[in-house]
Amino acid sequence: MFQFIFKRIVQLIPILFIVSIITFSLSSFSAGDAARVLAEREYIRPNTKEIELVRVKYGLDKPLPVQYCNWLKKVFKGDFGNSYKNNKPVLGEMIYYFPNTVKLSLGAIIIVICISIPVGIISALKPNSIFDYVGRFFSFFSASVPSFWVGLILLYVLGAKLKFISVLGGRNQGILIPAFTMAFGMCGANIRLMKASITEVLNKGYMQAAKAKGISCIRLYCKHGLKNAILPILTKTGIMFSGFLCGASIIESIFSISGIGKYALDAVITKDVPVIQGYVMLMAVIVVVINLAVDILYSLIDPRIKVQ
Amino acid sequence: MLLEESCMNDKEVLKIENLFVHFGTGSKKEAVNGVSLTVQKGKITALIGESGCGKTTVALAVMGLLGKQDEVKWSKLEICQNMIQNISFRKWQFIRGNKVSMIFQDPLDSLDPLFTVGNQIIEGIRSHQKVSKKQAYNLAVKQLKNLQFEDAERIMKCYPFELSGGMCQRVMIAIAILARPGLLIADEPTTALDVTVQAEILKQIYQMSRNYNMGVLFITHDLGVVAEIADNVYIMHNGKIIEDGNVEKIFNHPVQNYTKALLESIL
Repeated sequence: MFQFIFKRIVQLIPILFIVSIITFSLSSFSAGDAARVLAEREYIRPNTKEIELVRVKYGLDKPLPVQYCNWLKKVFKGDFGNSYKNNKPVLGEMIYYFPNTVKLSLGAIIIVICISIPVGIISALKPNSIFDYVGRFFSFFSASVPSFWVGLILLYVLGAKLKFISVLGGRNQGILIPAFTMAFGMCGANIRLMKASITEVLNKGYMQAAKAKGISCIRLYCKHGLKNAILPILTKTGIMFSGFLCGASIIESIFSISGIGKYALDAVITKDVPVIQGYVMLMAVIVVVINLAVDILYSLIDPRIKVQ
Repeated sequence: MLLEESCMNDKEVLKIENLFVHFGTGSKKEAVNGVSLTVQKGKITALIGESGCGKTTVALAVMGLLGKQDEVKWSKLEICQNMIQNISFRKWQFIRGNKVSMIFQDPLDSLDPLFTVGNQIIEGIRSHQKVSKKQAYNLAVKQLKNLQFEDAERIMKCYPFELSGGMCQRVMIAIAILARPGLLIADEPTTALDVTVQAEILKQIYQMSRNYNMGVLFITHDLGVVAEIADNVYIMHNGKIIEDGNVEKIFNHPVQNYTKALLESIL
């Protein structure tokens, strides 16, 4: 087992290295002239000379590979630089904003699991029943409606009309409604996946053989059925969780949540390169770590993975 | 007459009268059309026919393993003196594995890949016997040793994918006969196996039938196998039984043209 985990961790190092190169290069090319942005912070209407001074001061005159190496050295020490906007360390800012996004994403993932697994199971066990039809309608509806629309409707109904939540955000708003908005779009796909997975497992030979042994209904469906059917869901849930963490910006903006998605979105608008670089690197690490966790969990459930 | 009937019933572990199966797939054709057959205690009864003639469907209907959408009707279905008519899942739970067991065609597909062999055997034992895990483990090891697994303790810890097809089929036989059922349904148990392993599995099914006085419904399309181990034979074609009798009668004096054609195909 330890060998398996060690192998997987070693495989992650080149991935993160490549991501760091892409992150640094893309943000350096696409964010405009960083020296100009920095100079505007230090001088009022900076001239060319002043911009060049700033360029030398921050090492932006050096070739891109040298800049990358200097940046990477700092990143290893946990220093992502200071934000161009408020001159605060990016890491500290990310540590401040990140827990809100984690809370929101965890809430969303719990909602997705609580809705999609039971609905998917019942739809598979009772095909063409009224429950299946309702489940099918809900999955199509949730998959076809954009989450920002659901968010705006909920904000209007629950915030502006019923006054259950604060329209301006803040602590009083709670996490339930934003998390539900985030989860809504994913529920449909997950219900379909759960139903397909259970249906497939129910038709497997080992299910028939287990039934032929005369084992109880609970044992048959929970032990053999659910454990086998949960494997694709586990992978999907891992990907979904990474997606929630990395793509929280819209929901955070709608509900005025101070999360890392909104922080990064603001950084893109203000061309705050260190923040964008820090955010992308953090998200890359998160995706990689979540994938590793899913792989480990998968190998604990399915012994065939360890052998491979 | 009544006494005679009663004596005869004691010997019968399976009695099917007029079994009809209609799949809920929209097809108008009956998959099984009025099949009647009996299997006697300690005897091997072969059900022969080409692929798709309804042999496996008969077995699944007897085990109550057909889907809810499929329409299954019979005049009489009796398994080891248990009349089967509108029975609950709980009653099926008592009959399956206890009175009747089944071995399937593909042994690797019949064992859950996520659980060890030992776990799956013990689960079968504890479903029908009130024994501790330790006692069930000992029973399982003993049964595996009876089936010529010399390193039974190691096999108990193995996952199905770590065993060969023949070993998996022997594990399936172990699971099937643990509760000493009166009837064993073997649905083409050697089809998915190597020729070298086939003989060994057949030998074990034959010995189990004789040692435990167990009736076996042996489903196959291999007449060579039938000649080797069966006592009685039913020939099935297009969902119907077209001929039956003891193995000598069928092989030496077939009546139906289809039976003759089947026999000619192996000569």
